[in-house]
Amino acid sequence: MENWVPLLIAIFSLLSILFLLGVPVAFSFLFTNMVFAFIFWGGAAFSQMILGIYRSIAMFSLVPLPLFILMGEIIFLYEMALNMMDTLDKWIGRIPGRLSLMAVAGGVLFATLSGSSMASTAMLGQTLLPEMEKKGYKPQMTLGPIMGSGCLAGMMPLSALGIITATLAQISVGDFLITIIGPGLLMAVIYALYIIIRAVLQPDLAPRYDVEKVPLTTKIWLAIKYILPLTSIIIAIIAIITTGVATPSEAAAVGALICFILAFAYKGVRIDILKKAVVVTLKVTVMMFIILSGATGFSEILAYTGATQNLVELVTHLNLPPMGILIVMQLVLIVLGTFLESLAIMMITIPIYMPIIKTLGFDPFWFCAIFLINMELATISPPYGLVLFTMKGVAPHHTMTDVFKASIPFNILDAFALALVMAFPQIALFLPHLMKH
Amino acid sequence: MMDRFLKGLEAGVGRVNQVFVFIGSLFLIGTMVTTNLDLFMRFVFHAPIMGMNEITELFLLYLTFLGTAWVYHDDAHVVVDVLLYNLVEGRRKNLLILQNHIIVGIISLVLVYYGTATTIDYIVRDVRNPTILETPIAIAIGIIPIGAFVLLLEVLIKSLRILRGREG
Repeated sequence: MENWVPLLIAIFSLLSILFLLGVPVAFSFLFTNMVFAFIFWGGAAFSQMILGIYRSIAMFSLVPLPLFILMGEIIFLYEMALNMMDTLDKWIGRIPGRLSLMAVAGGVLFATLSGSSMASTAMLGQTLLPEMEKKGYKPQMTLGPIMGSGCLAGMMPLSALGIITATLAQISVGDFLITIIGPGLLMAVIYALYIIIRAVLQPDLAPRYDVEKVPLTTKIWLAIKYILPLTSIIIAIIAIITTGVATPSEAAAVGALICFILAFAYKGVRIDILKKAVVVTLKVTVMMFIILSGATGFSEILAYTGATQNLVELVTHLNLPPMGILIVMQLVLIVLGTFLESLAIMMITIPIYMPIIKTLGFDPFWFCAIFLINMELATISPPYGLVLFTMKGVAPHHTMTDVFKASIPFNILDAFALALVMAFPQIALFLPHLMKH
Repeated sequence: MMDRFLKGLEAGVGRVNQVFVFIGSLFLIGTMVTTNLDLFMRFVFHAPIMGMNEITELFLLYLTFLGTAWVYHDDAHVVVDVLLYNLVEGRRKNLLILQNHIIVGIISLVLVYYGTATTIDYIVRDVRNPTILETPIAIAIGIIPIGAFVLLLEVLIKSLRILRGREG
């Protein structure tokens, strides 16, 4: 279409107005699709919309999404995560910022089993915050590390956002889940270094305390009992995917089944817990799938107007080197992240960004890994990051200002990790290349 | 009179949601079971169950539309409550919420009407998926108007609550 610019402005204006009015994201997309589908094709378009909704949800590649969320819920509600944190506590010695580092270690472990940053933050907050405050830790060393580490859930293999990113970008979900391991671990290392340095420079923020000595045999037994089974699940899932034994969807199903068996072995069949886990999973899944169906239709509308193709041409003709364009794209995401929800940003930008990335010749897996770091940054960026509100919910005695202030260093650390992965693509691409060879 | 109608509608839709959530939960567990079963049969007996993936895909679609109205009832859909939603208070906020319900109502109305029409059309023409099971597409898309209809009722309840001066 020749008049794609006014059309693009009209489409985004309507979507933005609906967002601002507080219409749920999923319905904002659906309403925008309906309005413009009607303008372009008339009433007949609605029948196609029905088929579009069906095709965007009835996809076998989406199976990991509900099953990974279910795994996280089972692990959380059966208190397996709590036991894991207790065991971790026995292993970490008397080091500066001990409890904050525990948040990072626990964040990595729990991240591999839960796909949700909010669930991970809630779990870390509930288990660690009371103890941190009892030991005299200040908000900078309590709230910040918990929020940062909670966000690692999006950067580890069972990431729900990761699956959606790969699905929208039309790249292999399995390969992408392997790609994000490197950047996820990098973020954890950066957080740990920051915590140690800050605890050494400002010891009053995280006072040192004596740690109860636990015999090595007890520590080993607890690790075998509470950490080994959970880590085995994640290793099994990754191994199943990478060796080609099963697809990511099948691996997720195996993981969920093992999780159920493990939970029953620990605490027996608890109908109340199972019911709660299934219901919560169902709720999150419905919410995500409806958004997904709306966003898929939205990208089709954008493609029809010619906006996607023209934007690609426009960007590639800019007097900027490809890396410059990539940086601009990331800056746009950072700005959007300050006031929009990660899911909404993904749905709006991926259909536009992916063709540009392919035209510029960048590796789509690497780009999606960078994109995901940016989305995790969005979840802890003030004032509207969802993790900030989760943290406030777990720590109601802290003000929202405390939460915002504590999140800022971790925003900077995330931006640093983002820059590192952009500068050194091998951080993301090393593992998938290794697996293939 | 109106209050009695609203209470009856709330109770009725609440019961439908309960049944739908129960079935949706079964489909969720079913997704795990069918996928594992298919993998097991393929891995152990080299005999995958034909069309199992297709059934799993149907589970995903069904659980989504069985749960849509319930998620809306619980206000669990993601909302970007950045500006207006947080700035306005009292009567103005209620009007804003009512307007949002109307938008969702229009969407559900379109989905009910065109979903039903498309489903009937696909039944009449016996359009099937070009897959092993050759499932009629109407079986899949038929859940969309059903879910959207319950959503429409949920929207009606929430709107009436606001108009009656009760919490929206």
